[in-house]
Amino acid sequence: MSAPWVDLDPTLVVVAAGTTTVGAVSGALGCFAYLRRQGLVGDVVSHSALLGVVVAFVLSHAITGSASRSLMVLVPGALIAGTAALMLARSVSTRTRLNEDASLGVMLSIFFGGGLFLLRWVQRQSPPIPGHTGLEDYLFGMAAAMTRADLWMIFALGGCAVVVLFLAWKELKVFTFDPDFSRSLGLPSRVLDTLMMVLLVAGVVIGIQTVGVILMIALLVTPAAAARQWTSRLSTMALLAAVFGAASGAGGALLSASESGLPTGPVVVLLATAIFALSLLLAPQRGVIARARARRALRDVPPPAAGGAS
Amino acid sequence: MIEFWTLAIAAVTALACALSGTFLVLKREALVSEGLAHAVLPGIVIAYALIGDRTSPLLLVGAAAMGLLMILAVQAIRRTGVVDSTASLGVVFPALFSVGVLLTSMDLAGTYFHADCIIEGNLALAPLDRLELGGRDLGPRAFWSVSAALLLVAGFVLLLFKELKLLTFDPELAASLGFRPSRIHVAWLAVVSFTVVASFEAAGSILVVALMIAPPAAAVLWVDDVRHVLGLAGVFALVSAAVGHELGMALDVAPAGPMATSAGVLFLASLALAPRGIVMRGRARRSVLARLEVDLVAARLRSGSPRDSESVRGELGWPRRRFEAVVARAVSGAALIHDPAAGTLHLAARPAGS
Amino acid sequence: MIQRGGLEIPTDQPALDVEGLTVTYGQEPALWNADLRLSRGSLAAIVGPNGAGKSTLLKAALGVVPRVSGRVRVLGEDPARRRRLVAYVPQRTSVDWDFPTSVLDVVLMGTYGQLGWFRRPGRKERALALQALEQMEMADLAGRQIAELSGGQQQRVFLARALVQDAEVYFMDEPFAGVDAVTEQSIASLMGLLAHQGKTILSVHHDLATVPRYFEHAVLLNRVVQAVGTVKEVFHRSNLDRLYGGRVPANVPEFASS
Repeated sequence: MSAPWVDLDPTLVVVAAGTTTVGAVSGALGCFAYLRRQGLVGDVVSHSALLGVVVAFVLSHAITGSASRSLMVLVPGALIAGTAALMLARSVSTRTRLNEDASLGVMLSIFFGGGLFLLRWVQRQSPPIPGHTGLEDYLFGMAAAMTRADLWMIFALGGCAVVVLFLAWKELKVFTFDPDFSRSLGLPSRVLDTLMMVLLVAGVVIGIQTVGVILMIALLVTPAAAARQWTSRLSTMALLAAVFGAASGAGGALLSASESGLPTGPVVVLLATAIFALSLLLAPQRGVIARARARRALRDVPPPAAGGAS
Repeated sequence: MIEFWTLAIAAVTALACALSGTFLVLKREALVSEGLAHAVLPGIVIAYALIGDRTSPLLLVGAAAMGLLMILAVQAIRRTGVVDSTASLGVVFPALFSVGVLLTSMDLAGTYFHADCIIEGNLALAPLDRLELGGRDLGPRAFWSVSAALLLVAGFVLLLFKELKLLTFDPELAASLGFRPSRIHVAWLAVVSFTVVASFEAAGSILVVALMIAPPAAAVLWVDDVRHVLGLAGVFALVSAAVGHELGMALDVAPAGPMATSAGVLFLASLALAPRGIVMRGRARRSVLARLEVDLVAARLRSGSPRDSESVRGELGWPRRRFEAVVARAVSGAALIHDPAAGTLHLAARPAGS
Repeated sequence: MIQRGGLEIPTDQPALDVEGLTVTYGQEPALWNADLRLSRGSLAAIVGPNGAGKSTLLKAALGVVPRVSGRVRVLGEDPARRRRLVAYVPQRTSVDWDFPTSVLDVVLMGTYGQLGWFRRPGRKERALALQALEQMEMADLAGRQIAELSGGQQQRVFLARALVQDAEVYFMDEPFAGVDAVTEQSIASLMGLLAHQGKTILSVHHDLATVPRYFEHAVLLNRVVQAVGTVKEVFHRSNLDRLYGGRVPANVPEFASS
């Protein structure tokens, strides 16, 4: 952060610290969603969070008389809406013939459509509710609007999520790898499932201010998918995903600050995608190039069984 | 007149989306619509920058090609075998959407695009943008492009219904019968991609996703046959479009949000009311369970001689209240005889009808 | 009485006592009113046609799937309260072998139940896991990434994980499926050894031809338990004809007719 070409103004420090933290936390949390093949669940959570954000904004206006756009108010709303959307989708897919994809898609439509509806309605209120124009920023993210208080909120929630992840590490690991076995050990699968859901929602919620509800999924899936290529250890994968996420976040904040008009969210996402593309190509063993080379070396020998049955 | 055209555009968009969405919902790839709805953005921006003429039909084709590119990229990543298809979709579409947002923010495409239009489209202005041919006004351009999409989807479904059905429910059988499931699949997704692009301007990404997923998902809760699902999904989509449009007018907001919300409300209503919704299925399941429970108690008394009710309860592992409720049901149904004094149960003297 | 980590376990109780076990996934019960009693040291195969509820019986007894009814006792105890009495070897194909973890890590999962929340496996657990791997002749692959294992090696890893649990009753779901001949032999001798030590094994088994060779007891299951007993008592033509509806798989030799 002390590169000579960066003007170290305090706002930029706050923004860069925020996006870096968001990238690291959601990168690490995204690993479990990635391994459970539930990457798109994060997309549903982030879109659904919009409804919670707008409702929290309206409620804070109705209760205190002055609407708040601070994360302190909006994060609880987003947490509740995101969790509710997932739980509803879960109950639809277990209790009807609809598959999980369709249930998630419907909940995304309802919560995001409803959130957008409410957002437009709020913006039409007269007299205007102060601060309503900033709500728009949650769609595409507005890292520059991050305040010091927001940063503390990101630290607090992200820190909690990481601590929980650390404490319940082995339970989450065995539950992700072999859910039936973990149940046979007496581990409460419903508790672990909910815990994982709440962690995912927390990871999404702290990031929506930075990259927006639409692009948040990339911060969960892309660093995890990149990290998986380099290592075969879960702990290393989570650390690496955190590093990739942090690097994308920091890079995005600095790049968009140096080039006026560049929105932070898309830059962060494209940096993460670049890391993913490089990983897919260059990683030892799993990388496309390494495997092509190995195939050439073994042309006459039948290839060993790669991967496993699933 | 403008209101007529707004409604007409919304209705045709809704139909095209619902028809193409039905097979996505049934094939467990509903979220592909979410991916497409975002991935076509850079296609639209780039095609516009290259062609410069927003009335050109090439614009639609160029943008749809970007959707197809996303599908192919996802498949290519999945084929490496190191990233599964869900994750590859999750990597690719946000990246393409980011490119689109960056291009828009760089003003490459002039003022044509605005961030709001990406998500919500601009149905209100769509009727004002007319298609003229030889100086004659043929109506709004958007109407013709979504109609083209609807024709394409309907034509594909009509001509290749059998293949689509096989592809959806049994891709392996399709392959063994000599169809090229992957080719038909890609062709179909190209059609879906075109639908997304054509609907995009009027509907925006949220409405495209909502109309592709919610009406077919609601229809599946009412009927079984794919043809019926298609028809009912179309009806639901039309209703959502009409109701959402009125709601948007009444509250003076862009109609995309209200339309998506109406489609969602229709889904929730189906969940509550439809024969395969949560309520009815739950009721059916409970009545099956109630019958099973009585049969189970009877099965434990199969020997015929009276048995101590506590030991029967223990074998079934039920809490006392549940057991007593089941016994009460069985006794009132004349399946069991309960002797409270002796604390015993035995089968009623009649041919056991389980 | 046997002593197990501060627990006193009566040995006069049946090793496994299942009563009234019923599971339903949809309209029809997948498992109906199953009664099953095995004494200590039993080596039992569950056989039956596809969809007979064989895996369901194991999972329901373990509490992995919800049951409509049924009581399960392991050495007189509720296994939900005495988890260390049971070990479970799920079907090998039920997990993603591309999961980023090593052979030793998977085996260490067998210690998670006894460790409880928050505690990490330490030196002692590591030693136990290595010992189990050694028993399965997999010690030199301890550091190997699990994606690189053959089918037989995957199965050995799962069995090592169960050995680490040091249980009294072992539930195994098709441990012989898709393994090489060497592994098949070593699994069979491991089962024999465990049974000899007084442990009890209940295993889903597909290959009818090898039932008399590998098992002493058989549970004939087709949604209901049709027969339980020693292989000699219950594993004969007429029972199997009834079990498979007259379509006994072709690979069954003319065995032990009684």
